[in-house]
Amino acid sequence: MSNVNLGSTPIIGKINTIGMVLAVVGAIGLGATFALNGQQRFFADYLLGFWYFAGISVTMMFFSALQYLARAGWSSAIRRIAENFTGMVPFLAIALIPIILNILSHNSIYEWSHHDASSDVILQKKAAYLNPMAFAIRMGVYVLFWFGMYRFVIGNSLKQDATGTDITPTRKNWKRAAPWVLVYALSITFASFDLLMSLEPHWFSTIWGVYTFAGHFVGAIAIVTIMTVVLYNNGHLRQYITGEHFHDLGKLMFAFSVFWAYIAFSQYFIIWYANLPEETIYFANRTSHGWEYFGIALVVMHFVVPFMVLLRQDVKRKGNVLIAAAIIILISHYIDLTWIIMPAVGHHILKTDSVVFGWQELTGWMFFGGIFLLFAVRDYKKRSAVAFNDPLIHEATEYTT
Amino acid sequence: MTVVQEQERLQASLLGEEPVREGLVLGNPSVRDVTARIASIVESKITLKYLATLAVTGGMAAWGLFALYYTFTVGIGAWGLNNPVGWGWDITNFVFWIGIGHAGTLISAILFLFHQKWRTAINRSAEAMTIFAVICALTMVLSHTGRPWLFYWLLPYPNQMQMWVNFRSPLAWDVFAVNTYFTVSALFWFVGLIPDLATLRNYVKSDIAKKVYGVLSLGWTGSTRHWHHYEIGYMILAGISTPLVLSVHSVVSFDFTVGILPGWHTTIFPPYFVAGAIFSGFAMVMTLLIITREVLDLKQFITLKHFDNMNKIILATGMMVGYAYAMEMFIAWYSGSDWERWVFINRAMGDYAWAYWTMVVCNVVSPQVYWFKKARRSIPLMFVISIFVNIGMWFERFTIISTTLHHDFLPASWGYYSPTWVEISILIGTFGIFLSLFLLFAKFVPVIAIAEIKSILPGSQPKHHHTPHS
Repeated sequence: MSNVNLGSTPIIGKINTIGMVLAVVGAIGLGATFALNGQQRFFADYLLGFWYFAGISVTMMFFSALQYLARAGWSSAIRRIAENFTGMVPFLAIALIPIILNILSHNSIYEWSHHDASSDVILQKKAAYLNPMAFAIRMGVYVLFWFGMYRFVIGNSLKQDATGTDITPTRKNWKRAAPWVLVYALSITFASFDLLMSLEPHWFSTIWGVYTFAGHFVGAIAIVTIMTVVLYNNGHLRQYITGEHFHDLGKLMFAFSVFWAYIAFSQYFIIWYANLPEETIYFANRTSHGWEYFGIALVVMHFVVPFMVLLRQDVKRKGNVLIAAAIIILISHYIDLTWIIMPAVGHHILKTDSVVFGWQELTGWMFFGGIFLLFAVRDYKKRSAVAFNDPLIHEATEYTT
Repeated sequence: MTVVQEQERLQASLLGEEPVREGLVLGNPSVRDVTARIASIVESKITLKYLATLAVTGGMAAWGLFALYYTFTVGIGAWGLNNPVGWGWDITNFVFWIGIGHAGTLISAILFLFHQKWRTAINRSAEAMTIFAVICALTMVLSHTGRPWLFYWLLPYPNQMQMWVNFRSPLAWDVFAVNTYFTVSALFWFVGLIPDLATLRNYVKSDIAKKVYGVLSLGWTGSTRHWHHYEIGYMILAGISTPLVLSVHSVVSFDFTVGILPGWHTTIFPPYFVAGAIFSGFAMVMTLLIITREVLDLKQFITLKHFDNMNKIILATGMMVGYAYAMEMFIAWYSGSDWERWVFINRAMGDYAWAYWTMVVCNVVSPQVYWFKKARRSIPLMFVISIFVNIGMWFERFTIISTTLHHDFLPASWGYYSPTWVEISILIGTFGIFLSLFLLFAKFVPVIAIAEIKSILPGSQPKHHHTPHS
């Protein structure tokens, strides 16, 4: 078992190119959106791309912490693949600055930040929480928490590469992963309240944190799966990754796309059945004027297709099927966030009920997707692609059910 | 090394560095030892102590059945329900028992799918508890219908009156959810039992017992063919059970959430109820397992490592429940709705504040000791905490029901609910039924899955490298 640095391999080179292209095209596109469609549309697309990859990067840390918490042996062969996608976490502090400045300017995509919010009775009652200063402070707290988690959990995993048979760093993570998981749960919940739920400032849902978590988590697993299969198919990590890892990642994707569906259904069903105006407005806006096609696409692509494709045992061991399922899940996660953000911005800010969706909505996603990949490439150049010194690595390599 | 010595060594190792992987069976028994050790419980003579315990729990059950008889003859008016509070201990007990019934399937199905080997020592008794708890839950939900002899009206069947159940009513969903859950859990439990029943058939001496275990083991010979089919069947049942665990308590939560009452209608209820159910179920498994392990001397198989893991699950699910309480409170405030805000202030500071804070202390505060490994491995402490959690989870359901109902939208009709002796007796009775069934189970069925425990003995795994203990 030794250090596997894939930094100079063709596949990482290819990812580097893809990342560069995405980031540059995305940046140009975002600029064009700002110029052609105005500031509000630009910030909506910026938020869409930002939260897609910020949520997934932070959730990658959670994935790693979870493996330590459960003391999982099987995953030590692929845990580093998730960890190499967390490089964006320290950068989130910078990426949040435009959003925060925008909100402090009282003319953001968040209706509650506007000056005329003081004439809204309901927003007045929420003002202690939904005000620009409190928002900025909370964002700072989340970023600090995430940075702390990055330094501790990912940091200890990396230290283990250097310390060899001394497993003190791993023991630290075994011992302290649990509090970080708690920090993750609370920060991702409140961040999703602040960044997404408050776009519909009157609306509220207690399951919201769980709902957005489910989307990030299945998205993170999908990305880990794609990378695992791609590296394996390019002849890398062959002595670490086995068919069992494919199978288990397939099971996790299957399970958590069903979990997402369960949570999404719970939220929809309870609100639909009770039919209270202050709650149904959320789904009423999203199941009319063309937005219903996004909703139907979610049911099909975020649940039915992954369920049907990944149900069989044998297909979960086929790399290409896994990649196809993972891509469908990643597209659905994109549709999900679009369906959350764009109708709210359209309704409250752009003052239109019809579908706000075009090439512009891809620009933010491409920009942050590119950055996400470039950080991953940097990490593959810097360090081993596998946690080769993990004390449980032998359980992963010899792992068979 | 004897079991006791090994236990002590493990305890001592806590002070220093722990091993990377702890063994799950102590004393390094042979396959033959395992069979003999567990099957001998069934073969042993019935003691006076056992009969006396059974008499006590049976008495509790009889008393509860009498209270039910009284309810049926006098009517629901025998209970303390009043006009604003139409649900009281009946639904509290129903949700409480259904919740208890979740740990078994979690351990047997979900932990199985996650390849958690430590489940093998505890799954059998947890699954048995699931079935017994669901029986208690069914008793409660039937008795609250008022005319339980017409229970079949809840089932959709063609009839001359052309009447159908109201498919839009959560009560009808409950009927499907709970019955499906009972059927699948019972099947799952029984399928898992088949190889062990065959072991008992070969082990017991009396002819009658041989016949009974023989019939129940369905002609199991232990051939490769049998094992092959068995493993496939077990896997499929585990797969079916997993969404069931989530769905049953989600459907139970719909009893509350599909209404529009503040305090009941909130979207987090389905996952929150599932987490709470697993939490309470694990606590009950813990309470009974600590006693069973002591009485039947099963320390070799149910080790401190098992309790450590279970306590971690209790801490995790307790935090999830705490998260849900916090979300409810925060969103009630955040909603800006006066009714939502008022109900939650009333919950924490109104007439039932004592119930609310009992719940918070038992469910959220008390499991916090499990952040410390010493606490996770202290038998007396975990026994106390498991009882706290049982109490707390009962109060959770009581709090949800009573705080929302007792102050409705019309202040003139506000009231307060207290149970009568009948309701208290019925609760005692369900505990009697539950414990009596568990006692019968512990005596006549292998309390530990013999065949499965053999699969985790050191050396039984292919490619198993025994990690040396430090």
